Order: sequence, then structure tokens, then C-alpha cells
Amino acid sequence: MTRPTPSTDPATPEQRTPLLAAYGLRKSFGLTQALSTASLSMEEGEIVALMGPSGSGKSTFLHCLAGVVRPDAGRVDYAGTDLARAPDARLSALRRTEFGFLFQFGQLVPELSCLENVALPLRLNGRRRRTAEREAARLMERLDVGDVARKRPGECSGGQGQRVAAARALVTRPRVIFADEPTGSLDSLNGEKVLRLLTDTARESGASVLLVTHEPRVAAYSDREVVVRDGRTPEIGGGR
Amino acid sequence: MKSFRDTPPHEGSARSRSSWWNELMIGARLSVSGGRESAARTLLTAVGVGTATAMLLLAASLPTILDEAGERSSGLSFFRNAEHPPPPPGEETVLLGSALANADHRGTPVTGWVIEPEGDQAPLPPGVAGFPDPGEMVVSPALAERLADPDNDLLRRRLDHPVTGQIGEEGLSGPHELVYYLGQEDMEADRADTVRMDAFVDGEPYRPDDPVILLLGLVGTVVMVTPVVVFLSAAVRFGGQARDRRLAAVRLVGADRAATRRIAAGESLAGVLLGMLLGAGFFVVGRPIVETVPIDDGVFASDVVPSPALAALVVFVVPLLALWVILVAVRGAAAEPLGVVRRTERRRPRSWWRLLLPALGAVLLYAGLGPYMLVTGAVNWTVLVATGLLAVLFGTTAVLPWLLDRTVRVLPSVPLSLQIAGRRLAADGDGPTRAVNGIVVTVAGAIALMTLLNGAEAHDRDGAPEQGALSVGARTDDDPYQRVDLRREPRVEDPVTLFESEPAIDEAVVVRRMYATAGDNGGTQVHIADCAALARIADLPHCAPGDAFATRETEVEPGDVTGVTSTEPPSTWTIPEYTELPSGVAGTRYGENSLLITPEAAAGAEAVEEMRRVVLVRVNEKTPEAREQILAAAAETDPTALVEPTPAHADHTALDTMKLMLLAGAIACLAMVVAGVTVGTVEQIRERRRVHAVLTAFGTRRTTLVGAVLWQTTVPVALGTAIAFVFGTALGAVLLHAVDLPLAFDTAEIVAITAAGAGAIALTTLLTLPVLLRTMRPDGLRSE
Repeated sequence: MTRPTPSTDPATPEQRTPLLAAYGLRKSFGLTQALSTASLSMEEGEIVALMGPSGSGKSTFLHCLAGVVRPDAGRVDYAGTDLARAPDARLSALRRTEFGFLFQFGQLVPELSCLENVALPLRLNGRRRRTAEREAARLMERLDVGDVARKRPGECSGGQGQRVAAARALVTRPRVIFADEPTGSLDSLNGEKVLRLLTDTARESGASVLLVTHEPRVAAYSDREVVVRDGRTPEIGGGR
Repeated sequence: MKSFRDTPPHEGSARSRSSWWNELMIGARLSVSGGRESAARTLLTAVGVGTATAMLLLAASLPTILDEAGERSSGLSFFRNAEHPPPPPGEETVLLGSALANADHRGTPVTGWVIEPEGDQAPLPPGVAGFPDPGEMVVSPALAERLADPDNDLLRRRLDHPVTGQIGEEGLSGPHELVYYLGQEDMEADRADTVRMDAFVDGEPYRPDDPVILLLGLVGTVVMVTPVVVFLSAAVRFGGQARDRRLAAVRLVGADRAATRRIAAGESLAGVLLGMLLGAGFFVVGRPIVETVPIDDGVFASDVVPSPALAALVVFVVPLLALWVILVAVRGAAAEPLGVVRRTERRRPRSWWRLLLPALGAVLLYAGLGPYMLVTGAVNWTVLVATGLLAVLFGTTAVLPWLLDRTVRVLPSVPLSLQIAGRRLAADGDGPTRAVNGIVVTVAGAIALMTLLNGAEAHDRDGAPEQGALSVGARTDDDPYQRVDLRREPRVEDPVTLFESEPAIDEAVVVRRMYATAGDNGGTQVHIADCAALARIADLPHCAPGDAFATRETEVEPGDVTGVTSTEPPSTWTIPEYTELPSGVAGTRYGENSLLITPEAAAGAEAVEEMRRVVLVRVNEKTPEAREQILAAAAETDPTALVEPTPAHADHTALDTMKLMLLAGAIACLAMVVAGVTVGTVEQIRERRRVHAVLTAFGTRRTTLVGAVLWQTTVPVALGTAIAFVFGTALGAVLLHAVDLPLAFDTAEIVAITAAGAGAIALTTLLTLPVLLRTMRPDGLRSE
């Protein structure tokens, strides 16, 4: 199986088998319904922006698609697995190997150096420390944060921190990157830089990106935009 | 860049082994780089594990300590070898007799021996390098120390012999043993108090098999280790919020739940390993301190060596125990990729099963200790009773959450501080309960042990006269005289004058005593003295020289020819006419079977001069060191004299010391619990910074918030102490019943332990105040 040529064309579900597809997701937190009927289909190599106002349910939708939050109803198909019902071990293995995450706040471990943070997923995957750190260092150089490798996340600027987090998301060469407001805590210049690096590297490696944002300028980096409003998506991707 | 397909996910067992190590190492890395909180947690964990390791290593040394002490006491049990006929005199024999039997120095028994080698090949007593010459002595180091003390003039007077050497460890059962060998000449081998020996070590090593010691050991170990476990579980929770963030982060990048737990365990691994090193250090440093513990003869530091099998078990068990505690401590928090989800849904403690554990313990104890002894074999018995004790002690901890839940539901809502505390406890009573359970187990165990010791003490006290009667007859409280049996010809001309020269001795008289037998009639004690002396032995209706008196049950008749067994060679004597004393006449301290005879009535008895002398002394007990003065005078008169033990001198030092140590141990354990509770409370306060800030912003008084923290600690601790009191007393009563000791309580000690628990509350609150007040500062509010 080979990775298809990256394309900026919007995916056409009818023509290709979707890499990640969600059907009729519903999710409530107590009495608050975060998602009512949310569906989406993503092709391999596609960059999709989930847009919507605050509280619209876009982050919850992303979390459900990534298998981080289990929906109350509906299904999430990824490579033949229903993530809504997959066991924790399978979901963890996917996060370790095929998914990458980049959130508004880096989710870096403050006690580890930036290099150790980037190498962490590889080490959790059983890679030896030196090998893992060598690979991590290479990627950090490419993302222009090689100079902060030995620093702790708290000693870096916001932009550097997000690029380190991006390096951590990319280091396992994931098939899908989930980015939740990745520039939300950055100024516009640093935000642009992080987005460009993220999308360029993703396109280069053929990874898909699901990007949650409420900023149109961020969404401009995507191939396609999906608007979430009141926990619903107007577009029903794929059809089974 | 390589495609994801070239790096397939490693799953299953292929990944497991290396990643286990990786995960533990990641955790260890986090523990050393986590800043002040991590360092504090690592240090606290290390202290907890270190203390547990040191305690368990000490416990693992008990078999060696008992074995070594047993070996020594075997070598010293000269008179236990009655089944072996004495060897004939020769080059390889030695004569040994007791010197100043029943003596003590300020309550500590002093064992003295007179010794005379009969040839060049005579065996030396264990630990003695050479025989002392006649009139010289070799002494134990502890006795040498006392002799050198300027305050011990009377002891020096009592043992006024040149010291020519010291007894080594192999001749002593412990470092505090007071013993000496006094060189003697012309010893008579056929005396009852003398033995001829050709070897000192004989027979099976003596192994203490006292069920009280076993029970004390079992309960003590459980009681001492439990607070450490509680402390450890509090210590590993320190810096919990930061750890939760870390775990969520590693979960997000692909660690599954098991891996996350291993990382959490790895975080504490450094503390555990450091703790084990610390524990080994504590043990090595603490070993010499063991010698200073004044229980009985004490324990030599060189005997405190863990048995290899038990030491290996400690090395294996402590990290596992620590990891178990850590995993249990973090199990309530499920690390999820988006953060830590606390399992806040509190299950209401149900009552019915809470009593299962203590009930199971009671059943096991009954099986082990009850009247039917349902098990046989020491191992089975020990396992059964240990399990029963553990079940009862830990069963107490199951009752507390239920009782706390019931109590907070009925707490009044005034004052406000109590209401806040009640709500907090209702919302999360597990934390305080967990910490207070340490106090419950400690206090319950301590009360049980105190009860057991009090029972042992009461038994000793009640049994003292009987035990004394087996040797020389203990003085009763209403008897104004103490007795000194002279076993050899006095070294002074006038013992009476010598004794009466002591400031504490108001009066002294000397009587002669023998045991006279007459055919099949049995025998009787014969006391010969002038009327003045006899009047002190019994209330005589009248007395003149030539009179003789008999108590009602005298088994000899006038005219009987008696054999006098206390003379050498045995002689004969005819019982004179006597006046029978009415029954119940005072002075039957020698029993209802006595003859009291004036010297004139005994005239013609050639044996009289051979009879033993007994010095009766009337002592002013209020005079300082009265006992020391009697012993000094007795030693001066006859170094081999037999001095009457008195109820006042019945040796309760060991029990008193044990009780004192138990109290100190319980307080030390409570200190550990206080440390644990403080760590937990500080952590809780830090977590509630926002709530405190909001409450302060709304105008809540500081005293209210401080009061809330006080109540929050007071309610569970008070309940815990009450449960501990009930369970501890019941357990103590069961243990006493098991070892056939009377039930005895010392309210003062129980109050002291309970007060220590209350002190723990106050101290905890005090220690947490600075952190609490910091969360209420204005700058803290701004940061909110």
C-alpha cells in the first residue's frame, strides 16, 4: 500500500474511500448537548478546517474523530476500525503511531526538555532513547527549533513552544494530524509560521490534517472548510 | 519522509518488554526533573520507604537476635543441667556458686558468681579471658560502667574487689547485663549452692517461645509499618496536579492506561530506590542505638543482623509494597488524553460489609487463641493469629468511612466553618479518611499492646509473692522485716551492728534456721533465737529463755529425733517440749509449720552452731537507697548471701521500659501520620486555591476558613480515635485472654495515647496554616 499523491483538491467521497469518516455523532456532557448530528468524511492527504463560533461543538467533534472522546451515538470509521467502540489499547496505539495532536496550549510535559518531549511518542512506541532523540532532533531542526532542544518548554517563547508541539505531533509520521486552535495562543506572525510549517510538512508527508479554528485566515490553509453550528454539520460526508 | 506504513505500530507482547522498561525510565526521568514538587515528593517517598525498610530489616533481625541470645543463655544456664551428674574433681573442673543471689542495682538484676578453678585445664566461663584470683573479680562492661560512676558508692562498697578484667559479648546475654565472677578459694563442692563443672556450654540453645513475645512482635510490626504505608500513600500524592497534567500529556501521545500507570510508578521508583538506600543507611546507623535500649539485658549491635532469607524478602517486598501503595494512590484518577478525570462519583459507604473484616479477624483469632485451639503447629498458629490481628486492625479502617459518612450527614450547619468542613467531607471524605486510618491502626494497636503489657504487669505483681516463695520467700507488704540468708560463716564478727550502722536499717536481728525432718511425719522449719528476736517472727503470748513454741500444723512432736539436713554432715537432734501457739497467730510468715525455739531450749543440739543464720532487718523504706544499703551490708557480711526480693523491687523495669517505648513509638508513628496528613491537607488547600480566593473575595473571615480546616481534620480524627479506642481495647482483652493474663487497663496511658491523637490534629492544622493563609492573600486573589 502506497500513500497517494498529496492533493489540494477537495475530497470527493463518492470517488475515493475516505480515510476518516464520522456518521451522525452525538455527544452530551450532562444536560448540555455538544454534538447532535455531526458527520464528516476526510480523504488521505486532505486538510480540512472545522470552523464555527465558540461553543459550537467543533472541539468536541475533533476529539470524537480522534477517538479521544467517545460519542454517545454514531460511528467513526478509521482504516476499518470504529473508533467510537475501539478498546483503549487500540486507540492508544493509534495515537502513538498514526495520529498526531497539536492543541492551543502545547500539551508539552514541562518537566522534560523540548527534545525529550518530541522524542516521547517514539519512546512510548518502544524506540530506544538515543534513536528516538536523534529522529526528534532532525525534525526539530527542520521546524527551526533545534536551538531549544535542551530547554524546557517553560523556557521557550510561545511560538517556539507550538513548533516543538508540532514537531512532537509529526515525529511519528502520522497519517492524521488533529490540530485544535493551534495558533490560538500566538500572535499573528508566529501563528502564520506554525501553520505554514504544519501544513507544509503534512503535505510533504501526505498526512491529513483536521484543523479546528474560528479564524478565517487560519482556515485559508485548508483544502476544505466544514462549519459546525450548534453541534451540527451541514455537510454529510461519505455515505454508508 | 517515510510513510506511516513503513513504521507500523508496535503492539502486543513484542512491544511490551522493552516498552515496560522505557515507561518506567520515562517515569524516573520525570521524577528527577519535575522541579521542587517532584523533588519534595521523591524525598518524602524516600523517607517513607527508608523508614519502612529500616523497620522491616530490624524485624528481620529478630530471629538472629533471639538465636544469639539463646546461644549465650545456653552457655550460662549452669544449673539447668541437673540431669547430668557432676564430674569428679580434676584438672579440668571448676567450682561455681552464686554470689549475693537476688541482688539488683537500682532495680536492674545483678548476677554474681563465685568461682574457683580446680586445675590448670579448668574451663573458663564464656567471655572470660582468665580466672580471677581469689578476692578479685571480672565484670561485665555495664557493671564496670556502674562501678566507675561516682554516684554508685554503695555499689562499689558492695563489690569491693579489684576488677581484673571484663566479660566479653559471648558471655553476656546483652550489653546491659550486670554480672560478675568473683574469685574464691576453698570452695566446698558439696554445698547446695555450688556446682562442679567441666564445661560451660551444654544442652540445647534456649529459644524464647513466649506467646506474649510473639504476639507483641506481630502486633508491633503491623502497628509500626501501617503509618509508614499511610505516609507513603500521602507522599506519592504530593504534587498531584502537576503529575496529572504530565500523565494526560503522555496519554495524548499514545500511552495506554497500563503504560500510564507504569510511568506513574516509574515516577516514584526513584524515591523508592533512594528510600531503600536510605533505609539501609538508617539500619546501619541505628544498629548501635539498639544497644542503648534498656529492655532486659539489651541487645548487642553485633546480633542485629537480618536473617538472609528475610532480608532478601524485604528487598523484594518493599519496592513491591511501595509500588502497590503508589498504584493504589493514583488509581482514583483516570488519566485521559484531555486531562485527568477524577472519579468524583462517590459511592456511599455501605454498612453491612464494613464489619466483615473485623468479624473475620475475630473468627481467626478465636480459631487460633480460643479454648479449642483449632490449629496445630507453630507456623500455622502464627499465620492464623497474624492474619486475624491484621484483619481486626485493618477492619477498623473499614468502619471509619461509614461512620464519617453518617456523622457528616447530621453535622449542624452552624458555625459556618463546621458547615464548610461538613460539605467538604461529604464531597470528598476519602482523603482525610485515608490519612486518619493511619492514626486508627496505630492507636488501636498501641492500646491493644498497652492492655497486653498492663495485663502482664498485673500478673507479675499478683504472682510475685508466690514466685518469691519458691526461692526465699518474698516479704509481704504488712511484714516490716526483710530477710538476708547468710550462706557462709559471716566475715564480720557482729552482723547486727554492721546492719544497724546503715542509715536505712532501724533494727536487725539474727536467727538460726534449719529444716528438721522426723520419720514419715515430714519436716518443719526450726528458728532459733532469743525471745526478742522470736517476738519479731511471731506474736508470742510470753517468752523466757528455755521456751519453745510450735505453730498449729507443726509436723514434729516433742521427743522426735530429727535429722538436720542443713548441716554437713547431717546430724540429729531431739525436739524439745513446746507450747502450741493458737491458730492464726501472727508471725506465720514461715507458714503454719514452724518451731520457734530459744537457744536454751535447743541446748544440746550440736547442730545449732552449724545452722544457717538469717538476718531480719527492719528498714525505713523512705531512706534513699535503702535497698542498696541492705545489699552492701549483706555483701560485707557474706558475699554469697541470699537477699530477699521485695515487692517494691519486683522487676517491672522491662515492662515499664516497653510501655514507655510503645508510647514513644506510637507518638513517633503519629508524627509520621501527622506528616502524611499535613502533606495531604497542603495539597488539598493548593487545589482549592480558587475556592478560597472566591470565599475570601466574598468577605468570608479568615478565622472561618481556618476553622473549616480545623473541623475538617478534627471530625475524622475524633471518630478515628473513638473507633481505635473501642477496637484496641477489645483486641487487647482478646490477646490477654489468649495468654491467660488478667484484664487490666491503665486509663492514664490510654488518655495519653488519645491525647497524642488530639495533638496530631492541632499540629496538622498548625502546620497547614501558612499555606492556607497564603491562598487568602490579596496578591493570591489578583492571580486568580
